[in-house]
Amino acid sequence: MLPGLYVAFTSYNPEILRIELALSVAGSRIGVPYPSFIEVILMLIFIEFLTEASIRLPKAVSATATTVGGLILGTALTEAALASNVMIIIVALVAIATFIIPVNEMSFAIRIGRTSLLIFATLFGLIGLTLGFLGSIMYLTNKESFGETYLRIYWKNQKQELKGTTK
Amino acid sequence: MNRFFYYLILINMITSVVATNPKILFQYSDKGAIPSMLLAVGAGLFFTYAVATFFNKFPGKGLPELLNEASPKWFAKCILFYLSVNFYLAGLITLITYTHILKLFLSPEMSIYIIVFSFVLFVSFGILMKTRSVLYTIEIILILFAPVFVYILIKAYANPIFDWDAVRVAMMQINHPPELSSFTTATFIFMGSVNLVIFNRVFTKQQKFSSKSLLTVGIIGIVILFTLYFVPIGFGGFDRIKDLVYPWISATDSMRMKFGLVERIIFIFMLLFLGIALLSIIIHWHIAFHLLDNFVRKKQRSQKKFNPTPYLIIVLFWMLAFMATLQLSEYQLFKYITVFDNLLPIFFLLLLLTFFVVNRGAQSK
Repeated sequence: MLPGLYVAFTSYNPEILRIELALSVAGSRIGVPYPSFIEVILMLIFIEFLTEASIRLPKAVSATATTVGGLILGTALTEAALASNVMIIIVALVAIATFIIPVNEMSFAIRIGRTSLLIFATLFGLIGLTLGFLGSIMYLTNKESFGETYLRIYWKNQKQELKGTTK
Repeated sequence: MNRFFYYLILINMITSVVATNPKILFQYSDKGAIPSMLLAVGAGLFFTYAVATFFNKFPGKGLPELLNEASPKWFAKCILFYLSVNFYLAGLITLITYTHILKLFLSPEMSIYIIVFSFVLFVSFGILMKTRSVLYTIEIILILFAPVFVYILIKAYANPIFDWDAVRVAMMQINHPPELSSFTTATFIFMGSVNLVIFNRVFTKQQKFSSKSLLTVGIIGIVILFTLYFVPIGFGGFDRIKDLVYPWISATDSMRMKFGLVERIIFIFMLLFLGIALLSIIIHWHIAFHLLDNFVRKKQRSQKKFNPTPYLIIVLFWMLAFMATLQLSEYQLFKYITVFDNLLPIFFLLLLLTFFVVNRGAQSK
């Protein structure tokens, strides 16, 4: 969700954040030549490459890959003003957050979801981001496997409830 | 009662907080808004009771099925059409009000087309969802948003600039005869139970609407009505509250979080209510869609053949929504909403009549 928030805040509604934060975010974007969503998409693709590469490379090389990719490229990118500092932080956070997810297949799904949220934020701003978030909840509740919904809240944890009071 | 029943009522109540309802009430703030609100609590509770007890008799059946079983065909068609138009309008009102609010406060540079489009896109997905999934969505989103809502309420009531004297002044206006418009507007808050018309389809278990449930609904309703009416008065003062276009937005804009990442509460408030409004529109249009679907349908639809009717209905919804949003100004919208609310008693009576007819039809069988 963070990349989407970044796009929404920088290109649509900087006035929502408190003034110090808004200024520091805007200040770090000085000199970045393209709109924020291109920046975000580029950096996200880059970080995906990096994670995929580090999975596939042998152990000895993968450390080099992450160092070159993460440290050197990140510093060089901000110094060449191709991406803002805040963007690098966000991308790093996104990468760490993807490692939290326990199931690998789930992280693929999250990847798609993240991109779709980013697209909604790009198209409709903060409204799109919120609606996209709610929309993903709607999508998940509407999905079923073997007649049971993916996402629902079991309230009292009664046997009855597990069988489904509302069928 | 099923907990989803309360969710349906709650959504309707919360949505009306930020919609035009408070404004209509403030129009009559010195002409008898308070007695009519008190009356509305009674009427709303009675109505909720009638609807709930009626639908509890027929678990697992929506109104369209009941009508087809137990009443003459022309009657069923008329009622279905009338109800679907009403539900559609209720959703449309929320949509237009929110589009105006978002355009004014959140993203003034955005084109109105894009705002409506982004709304309608998600809403039409919500319409096509299964009825059961709609309920689950409501539950999850409500639970996600409830802490924020409670936080805003606490923030409002505990605010040092909240002027209790103004509230007392407003309360003194109790000695006026009640007014029709403010009465109907206040009863609209209790109309959430009508959503059972379709949602009763998924409540298959036999349930009881006891006095405890009635009390719960009553207390929630009174709290929400109190908040809805008195919080803007507390922030804006009693005398000139009539002149504000969106009293609630102005009220929340006067709160701020000193240490928050987002300093002004209005933005949190707006995003929160964006979600709630989306839910409300989905509920209303979902019902309107199903009623209209039943209205159009001639016989049992075959499963295999592709049927364009749902998509046609959605296209119709879209077109009407775009046209209405572009056409209406805020003043016109306000006037039409007043008319819509004033027509609610007819809706009441018609629904009660329908219940009566269905009951008789079911007994004679």
